[in-house]
Amino acid sequence: MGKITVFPEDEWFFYREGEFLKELHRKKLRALLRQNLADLITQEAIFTCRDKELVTIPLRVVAESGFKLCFGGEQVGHRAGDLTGVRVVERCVAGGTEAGKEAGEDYFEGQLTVEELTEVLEEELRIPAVRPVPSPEERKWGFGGLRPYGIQNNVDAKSTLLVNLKRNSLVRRREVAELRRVDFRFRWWEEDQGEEGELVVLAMMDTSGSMSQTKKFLARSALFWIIRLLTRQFSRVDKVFLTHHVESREVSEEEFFTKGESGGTRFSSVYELALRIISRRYSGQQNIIALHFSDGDNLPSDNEKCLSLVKKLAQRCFLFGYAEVAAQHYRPSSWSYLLARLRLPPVKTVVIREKREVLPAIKSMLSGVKYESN
Amino acid sequence: MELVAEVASRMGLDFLDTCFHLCPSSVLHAIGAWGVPYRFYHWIFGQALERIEARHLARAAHIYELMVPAEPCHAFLVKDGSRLEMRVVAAHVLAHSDFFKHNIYFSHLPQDAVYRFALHAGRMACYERMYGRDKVERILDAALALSNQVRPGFPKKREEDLLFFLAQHSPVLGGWQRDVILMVREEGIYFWPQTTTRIINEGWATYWHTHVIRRLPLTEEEAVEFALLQSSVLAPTRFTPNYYLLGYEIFNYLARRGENIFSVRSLCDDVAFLENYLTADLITRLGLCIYHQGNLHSCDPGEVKRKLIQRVRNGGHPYVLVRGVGSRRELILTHLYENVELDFSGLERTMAQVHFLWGGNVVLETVTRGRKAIITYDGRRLTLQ
Repeated sequence: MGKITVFPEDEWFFYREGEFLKELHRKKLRALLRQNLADLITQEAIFTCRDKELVTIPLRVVAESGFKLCFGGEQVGHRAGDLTGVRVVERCVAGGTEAGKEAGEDYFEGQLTVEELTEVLEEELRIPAVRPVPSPEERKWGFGGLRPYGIQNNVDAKSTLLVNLKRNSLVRRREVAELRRVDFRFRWWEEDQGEEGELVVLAMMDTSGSMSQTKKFLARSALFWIIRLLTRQFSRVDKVFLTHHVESREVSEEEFFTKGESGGTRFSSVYELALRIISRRYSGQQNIIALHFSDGDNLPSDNEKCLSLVKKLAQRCFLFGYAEVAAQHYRPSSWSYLLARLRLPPVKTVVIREKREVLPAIKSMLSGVKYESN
Repeated sequence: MELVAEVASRMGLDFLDTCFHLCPSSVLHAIGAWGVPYRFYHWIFGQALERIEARHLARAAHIYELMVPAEPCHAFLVKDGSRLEMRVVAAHVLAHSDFFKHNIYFSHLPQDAVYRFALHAGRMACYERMYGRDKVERILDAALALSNQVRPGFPKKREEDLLFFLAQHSPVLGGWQRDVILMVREEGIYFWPQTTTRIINEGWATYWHTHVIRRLPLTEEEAVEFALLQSSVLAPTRFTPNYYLLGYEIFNYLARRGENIFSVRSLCDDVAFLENYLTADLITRLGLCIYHQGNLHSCDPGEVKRKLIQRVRNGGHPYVLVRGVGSRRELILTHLYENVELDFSGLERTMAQVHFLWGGNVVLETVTRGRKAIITYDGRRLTLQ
């Protein structure tokens, strides 16, 4: 018979290895996420769900590889309802000397919120969290939280008395008495962060006959993420949605993404409208971006006028993005050539032909963006 | 626990020196993922841990104990069980300990298993500092994928063992990388007997905790508690056989027939155990059957037995050996075909891992659709001939 020794629980007090292991796994998942980002951000489930809701995304797990046998969907198990008095339970067995691994689990269903996905995207795109430091005279100070240390001038009487009362009540004394060093609470000066900047997004969409549902979906997903990424830097975002074919008008967000119209295309009308809205509503506003989604079929006679309007817009906006959502194997239109030839820093042109191109498009639109904070 | 040990040894159990470690369940889960209390870090163990914890939270599985066979033998138990629970677990653990002492597949138990794992962890950490996390992880990804290809004592020529061959003869690996592979191989060899004796080992432990508890004086409440516990451990499960129940019933049957169960536990692994003692009668009584894609397929005892043994042979893994190196420096592997074909869905990833370790083309001989097949991986894709 062997000897038996029992060790108490204390020896595990410093055991943190499980946390490290899980952290490694999480890191790995994040890396996987990054690899699959181009596919993930164009999942339709994302656009219909709220910020905090979870989207389920299938991720391929690279490990668990190794030579395996194929049992062709056959399993050996117990028959239900066959044994007298015993109910077949559909769960794993208790105990075990080794953690059981189910074979053939190639997929890992990851769940994450849109918020988390945005974070990963932000990391991936390396968008700088630009928050310029205000000059000293602009800094505002105010009382922040409470601390147990500080200078006498800043004693917060109310919470000091409360702490004292609490301490006394522990020894069943119902009064404020014997004020000690530990009871004191001091107010603390903190810099007033103030309001962050306000962002105006002017989204323009071509609703002419040639814009199909697929093209609209591409536009929608690109717009969704651009707005989302920029929103994180600002406290308030004003969105203005404009649609156009030959004429243009302002619409609601809902309508913007769903409504389809027909007819030809004239860009100048929507650019004029955008300029009007800027000068009327946002004359003092610094942070304006204008994004235009179209398949590029502008009337050639209109191009000249558009160029001069774009130049005006470029003065007012820190980003004027023109995204051409084109059919596969489609060559960029003459309009995007003209735009690119302008060589104005705020003007960016991208082409999105399929879902996978949404991520690079966002990337090139947002790279090197400089904006001011008020 | 002393009482349990005394009763158990009076009934004929002869166990190793055993250390009982009481620990919180979070620690138990980490040990479950790793297999030992300290080991090198790799995200795959984190994944295993997440799975264990998810199942624990869903109340789908409760781990009472984990064992590390060594001399002395280590058992890790949850601290907050009732008196009866602790006794059941102690009896269970001691039976495992007896199994480790006597079963021939555990005859090469290393005395210092726990320390060797810690030693490996230290060395791995050192390599990580010297060559970078990513590089070590890359090698570990590949080596761990092949770690189910080790067999203690097999093959007779060590050069046929895949990991050993790669560590010795791969032209692209540096010294530390070879060391990493050999460490993974050594650990794989340590865990191997546990994967090939799961049914007999759990059956043995369940048989003994049942009989030991029956000898102990129990209060009424404890008797009910024991019945509940026992019914949860022995509940038949769908789609996967309950190894505890299966092994327990076989040992009961052997004991009733007057066989020497002690010699059975010394000489058998799962395959021999099932092959010799799982009778048609037992299969019908346990309601074992074959499901095909979730539907009941067959209850024919002969077929059930055959399929069950296929599942447990080699722990359900295929066995791939090194044949040699071809004329164009390609590594030639051969799959020892035993009536079950390779799973092709993950094959490309595995071949890519071998390709990475070998640094050249890899050829695998196997059988598919009843015919011989030669599969080549050239670093980009698989080709079948």
